[in-house]
Amino acid sequence: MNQTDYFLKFKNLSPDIHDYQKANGYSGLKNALTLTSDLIVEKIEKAWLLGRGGAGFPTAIKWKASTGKTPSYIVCNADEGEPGTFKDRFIMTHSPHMMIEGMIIAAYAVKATKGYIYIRGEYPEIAINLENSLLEAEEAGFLGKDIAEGFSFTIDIIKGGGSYVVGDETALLNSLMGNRGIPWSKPPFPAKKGLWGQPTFINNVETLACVSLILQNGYDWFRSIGTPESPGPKLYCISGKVTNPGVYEAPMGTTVKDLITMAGGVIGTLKAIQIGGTAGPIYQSDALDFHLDFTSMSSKGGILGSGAIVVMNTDTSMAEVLEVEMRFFAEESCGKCFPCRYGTRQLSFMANNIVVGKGKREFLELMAETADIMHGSSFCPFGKSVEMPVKSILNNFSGELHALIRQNDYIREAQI
Amino acid sequence: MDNTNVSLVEMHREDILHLFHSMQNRKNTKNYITSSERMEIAQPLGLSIAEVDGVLSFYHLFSTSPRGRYVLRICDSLSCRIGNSLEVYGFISKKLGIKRGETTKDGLFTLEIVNCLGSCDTAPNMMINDKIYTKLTLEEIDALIINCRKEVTV
Repeated sequence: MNQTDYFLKFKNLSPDIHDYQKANGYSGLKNALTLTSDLIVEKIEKAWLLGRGGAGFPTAIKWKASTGKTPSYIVCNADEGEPGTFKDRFIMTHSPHMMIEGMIIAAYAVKATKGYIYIRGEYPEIAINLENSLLEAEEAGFLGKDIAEGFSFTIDIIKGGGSYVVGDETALLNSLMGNRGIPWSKPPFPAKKGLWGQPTFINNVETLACVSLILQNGYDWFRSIGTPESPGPKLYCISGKVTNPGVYEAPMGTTVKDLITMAGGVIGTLKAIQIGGTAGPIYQSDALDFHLDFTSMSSKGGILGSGAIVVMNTDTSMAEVLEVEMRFFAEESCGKCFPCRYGTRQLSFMANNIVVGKGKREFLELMAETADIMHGSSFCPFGKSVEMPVKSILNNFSGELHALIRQNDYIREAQI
Repeated sequence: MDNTNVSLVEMHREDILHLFHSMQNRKNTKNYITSSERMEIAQPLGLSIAEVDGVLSFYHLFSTSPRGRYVLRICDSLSCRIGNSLEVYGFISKKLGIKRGETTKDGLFTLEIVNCLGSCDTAPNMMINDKIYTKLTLEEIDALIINCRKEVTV
């Protein structure tokens, strides 16, 4: 088993700037400031850093769209809302400077002068600590005016209002500008037209932390970890029925089985594993052999997503899981498009009825059909992604759901 | 921290979330944003009240109707559900005599269910106003509620 500790070592250090600098922190920024913007982007491209927020889009390709036009913005997406995910909380709690350093390097690379950290409203204590970290960075001369010749950069923190959809980059930008947090249709891509119509580069907390690591240790080092298609170390969030739930760090491509072993193994008998967050499929024990990286997971028809792994044992009712997830989607749908607004409500209604004993046989088919329609016609990834959890539960646990509905039928008949 | 008396004239539309947060926490006895406060925001930003309401209603953390002094937000996403969030909800609901979305008659507690507080490894979790409490046991919840009541009588 191959564990790494580029992030995890900060668990035993204080989050202040001195501890970070002792651990080689901000040497990445110092390296970056001796290079040209193009060279930094080239390094990130050679490292083949894929966005850690969930989509796995190559960071360098995003940054390449920079034309040096001013003003342009860097936004750190710290709106970690995916159920089962708590890695960005870990980074911001234990090594906030790793993320801040990455943001400054990113700003230098795309010639941005202003940055925003959009942190979810449910993390108020972390937001206060981040303010403090920003002050430390400013005092050390890494933020503010003239960080290097002709390069000034400041960062503001924006606290969200509690919305899952805002994790989507265009929805986040709308929210940041003081609008309802609904997504817009791309193009225009934020790198061309983002905040107030200006070029805007949005990266996840862990992605920016990886940028620091790459500039500190070189792209060769980064590519030596993980798989050729998905290099680097990765933070995985393991929760549910394991002995020691928590954040674990391992190279990209580590198997589910190895991670569960790191977390002390399953409590009881394994029944189901959800990978990638609420928008990811729920598998049976065959998922133990899956390799957790972007390419392997998509070849299995799944997603790596944010690296969330939720483990369920035989105490868990899959009808209940279905109900919890569908309620989540119904409550978090932003309401912009009809398929998602109405579809999520129908799915939640049916799942709820199954759990409370009013399920009907046609519900299972109807749910699959609704998910298909939503996948084909929803406006943004949120509505499209509902298909994965719904259909995987229906396919992998159809026996259990059918048995439950037969029971419902029986109770109904007997009552007549 | 009462920073809401800053001149609203210098505010821009992008400050709206910040304004919501600070107005909602301004008098920590009500936890909501009144219609006159919404007007206070709308005018200097050059927005209609409908527009302010539109933004406000989009976000789960804000409320336009009075809530208790303590808003209890129980996480009921998958990891917390597996970690017994229903038991936490049932216990509090019974103890306070309120259901999801309701406020106790004495105006102290409002009970809410939320989607993921980002601390799934410490399930079950709950926030009381701005603070998160993790790995909750029923005894701890009892103590937390007693503490809240004490805080008010002091």
